[in-house]
Amino acid sequence: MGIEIKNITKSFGNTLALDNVNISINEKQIYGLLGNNGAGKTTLLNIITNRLYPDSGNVLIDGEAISDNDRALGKVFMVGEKNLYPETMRVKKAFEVTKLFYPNFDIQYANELARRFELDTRKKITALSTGYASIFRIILALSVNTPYLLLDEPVLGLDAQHRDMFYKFLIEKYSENPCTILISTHLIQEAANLINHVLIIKNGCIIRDMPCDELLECGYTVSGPAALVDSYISGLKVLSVNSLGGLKTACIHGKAEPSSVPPELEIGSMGLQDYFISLMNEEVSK
Amino acid sequence: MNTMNIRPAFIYKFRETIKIIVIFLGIMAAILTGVIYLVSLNLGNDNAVSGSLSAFMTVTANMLFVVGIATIREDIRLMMQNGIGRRTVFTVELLLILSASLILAVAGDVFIAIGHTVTADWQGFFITDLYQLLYANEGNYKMSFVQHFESIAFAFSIYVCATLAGILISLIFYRLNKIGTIVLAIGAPLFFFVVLPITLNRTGVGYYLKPLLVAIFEFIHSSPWAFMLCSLLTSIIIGIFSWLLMRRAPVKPAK
Repeated sequence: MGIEIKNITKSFGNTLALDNVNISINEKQIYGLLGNNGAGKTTLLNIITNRLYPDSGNVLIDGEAISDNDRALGKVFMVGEKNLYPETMRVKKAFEVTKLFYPNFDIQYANELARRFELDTRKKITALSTGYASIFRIILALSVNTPYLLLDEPVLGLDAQHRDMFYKFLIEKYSENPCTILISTHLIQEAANLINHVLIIKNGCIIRDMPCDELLECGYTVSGPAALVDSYISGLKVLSVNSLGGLKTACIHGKAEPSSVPPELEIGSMGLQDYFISLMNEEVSK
Repeated sequence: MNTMNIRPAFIYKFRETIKIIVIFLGIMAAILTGVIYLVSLNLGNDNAVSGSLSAFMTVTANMLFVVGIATIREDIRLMMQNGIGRRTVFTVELLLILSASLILAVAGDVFIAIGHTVTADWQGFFITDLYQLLYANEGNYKMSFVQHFESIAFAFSIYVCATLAGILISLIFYRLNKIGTIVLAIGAPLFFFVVLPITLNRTGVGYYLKPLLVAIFEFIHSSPWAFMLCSLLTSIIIGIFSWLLMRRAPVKPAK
């Protein structure tokens, strides 16, 4: 059970957006879909929800093909960067309509969240500011109670306080009622604590697909005087190097062997964002 | 194995459509009442007044055409957002077109019947509709039971065709890119109102086409059922093209 993405390829004109993507998304885990702008994240999410058709390949949800399959599509709820509700619809009506399509949608909880986020449910959706439009979509996602939740840039335009509230509500919801969540975000640092499986996409290819812990064990940082760092990293697989004054920090692929590290150098673990940036830099330098 | 989730989609769409129908019928009732009232003020001693009211069917067809244009994209977006596939969206659209057309066709006939009853004694004032104008005996617009049935079926066929035409046009523009949209928006009127008439006149093609067009119009005018047959065939063709456009349409947010 879960979402199976098999051999998905998608082009837009001459641009190859997804190149033979294969992913298995397991149940009740939080996935982070990370990638630079134009990497193919939104295209992938749109294909999973049948909003776009791939050129080849298929997507299965709990073993069923999604194409025009309401039973499979009804198990997924995706909130994208843009609104798909009618322009004249009010927030309150949108909650009611969503309840009609998703019987497990919790209107009471949605109204409670609207109150907590100070979202005026009498407003038309199009009259909402960028931040409140994101809040509206977030509330739908948190209240819909589907087995699979896809969030494409959920915190777009949100201030720090509301982002913090969102992460707390999401964790709360996940703890009470675990479901599969796939978050695509550029705010990696903030989402890092939520994510337990990482998918990194670059130029339409999945270049990393592994549990977050394992991924972070794939590398470490070493910092200290530049000359010592240079001497230490020679011969190692360096993901990235940053210099500041006479100090240098290098991200190294592989596991640190403390015995081989000079005492003047400091070894640290890599954060998800560090790893991501290093990986992107490494790919650029290739 | 049936994987279509028609019920919620139909309920949503039915509620929205009923709202439109109620508002429209309210406006039409107000217009009918207003016209009857104003005409009654000008009745002579012999109840004679000159005039007619005969626009219900054409106004309704125009309204449905616009509704078809305006709602299909919204429906695709909303339903795809809520886990409903394109096939179900299209099926629900068809079911609603048939339901709305039937309701409006019956309502139109009831309007005409009420208008006839109220103005039965008036001389020279007629409340009619397209069916009567085309197929009733001139000057005698009182309809038999069979003619009422025919009138409803006639209106129904026009309404279905008009709504589907609106949907098709909306889908064509939905599927086109920006340049295609501009080209079609300028090119279509230019072709139909400038290029085609000039070509038909100058090249003599019109001379050869004329008998064919006359034959088609004569066939349509020969019987309401002939008209309905043409409407049905047109609706089927438009419906097939609409489905082909919608089948793999990417779901794009409103601009």
